[in-house]
Amino acid sequence: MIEGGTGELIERARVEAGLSQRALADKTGISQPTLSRIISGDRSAKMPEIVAIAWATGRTVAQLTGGRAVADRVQCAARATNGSGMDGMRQALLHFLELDDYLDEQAIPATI
Amino acid sequence: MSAEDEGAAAAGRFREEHRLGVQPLGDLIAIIEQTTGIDVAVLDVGPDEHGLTMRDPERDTMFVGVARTLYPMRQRSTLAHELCHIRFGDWADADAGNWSERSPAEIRADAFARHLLLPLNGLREVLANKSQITESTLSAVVQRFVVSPAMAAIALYKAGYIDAATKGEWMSLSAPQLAVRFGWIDQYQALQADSNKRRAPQKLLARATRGYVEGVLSAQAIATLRGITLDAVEAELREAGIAPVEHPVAWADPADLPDVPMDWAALDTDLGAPDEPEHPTGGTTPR
Repeated sequence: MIEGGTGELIERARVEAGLSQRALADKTGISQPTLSRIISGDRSAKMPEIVAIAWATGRTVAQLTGGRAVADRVQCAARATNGSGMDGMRQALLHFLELDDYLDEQAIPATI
Repeated sequence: MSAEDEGAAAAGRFREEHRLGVQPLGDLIAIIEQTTGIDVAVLDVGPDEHGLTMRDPERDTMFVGVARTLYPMRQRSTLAHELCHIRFGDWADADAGNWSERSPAEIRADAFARHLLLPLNGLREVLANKSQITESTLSAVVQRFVVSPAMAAIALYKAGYIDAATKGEWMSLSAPQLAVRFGWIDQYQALQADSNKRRAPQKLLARATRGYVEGVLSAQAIATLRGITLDAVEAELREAGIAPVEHPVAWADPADLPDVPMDWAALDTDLGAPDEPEHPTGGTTPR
């Protein structure tokens, strides 16, 4: 069982994949009420459910379980105005780094 | 050395190292990708997020992101600005906070961008025979080097072509204003269309596609990376003849399996188990 935070990460992955909650439920075979409870944090997600959600949203399991080792160590250099916190870009680039890390782990070579 | 001078010197070195001469630079994304090997992505983000470089120090991998925008000159200066941060290793922790602050590193990066995109000797080369510098000259510089009028005005001032008052006046002009007045609005709109398009990080996308073929990533992962729908990605992959490789499972007939002799008695002896069932009901000893 995976505790806390996962609901939020799943919700973000769902939105970025452009899927409605209903569509995600259909793709994963998890009932919509169950999915809704997982997202709101009322119920923990079981590992097979996380695997199914990761596949359907194009995320890695590590990204959905909060095992985000990459996020804790990244460094940044930015250009922003009006005190922007750069949230959109930080999330996008973090996703790239995590995906790259995952592909490393899976021994997928760079092709170019 | 001031931050301004440091940025200018670094820009000159960059042009020298990569044999870029004093000519205008074309596709900056390609220049960054080819000179640094770092993937650049054009992202759909909030209006105040211009550019970000993120680095994983453990694996020394980096990605540069710039915003999709209708202001092509600004996107170019942001790219050049990020390139400076990479060259100088201006890293801060991801949650360091105020990204809009005018630190010396920011001033240096702005100077680097200006001198990289519009080198003063490149400007002098173009204007060598000009006797009179007018707004038409400004427009030509903006169009040729694909920089903002503000950047061009600062360079014209620094190279001694105009006075401070003219610089101030010209800095308030916009590129589309000049493009309309001096007849290159079509070209400007083409630049806009280009800078306003999302662009996925090329190497990562290629690698993700390989991951899809190997079955470790779903097509949705590629769709998210590109910011398009799953249907569109699936159609593209199909048309390109790209499909996950099948890893067939070799099933054996049980009858073909070798007969492995097992001596349970020896195991019982090893475990010191009694020979007879202990249960009075006569059940067998579980093994």
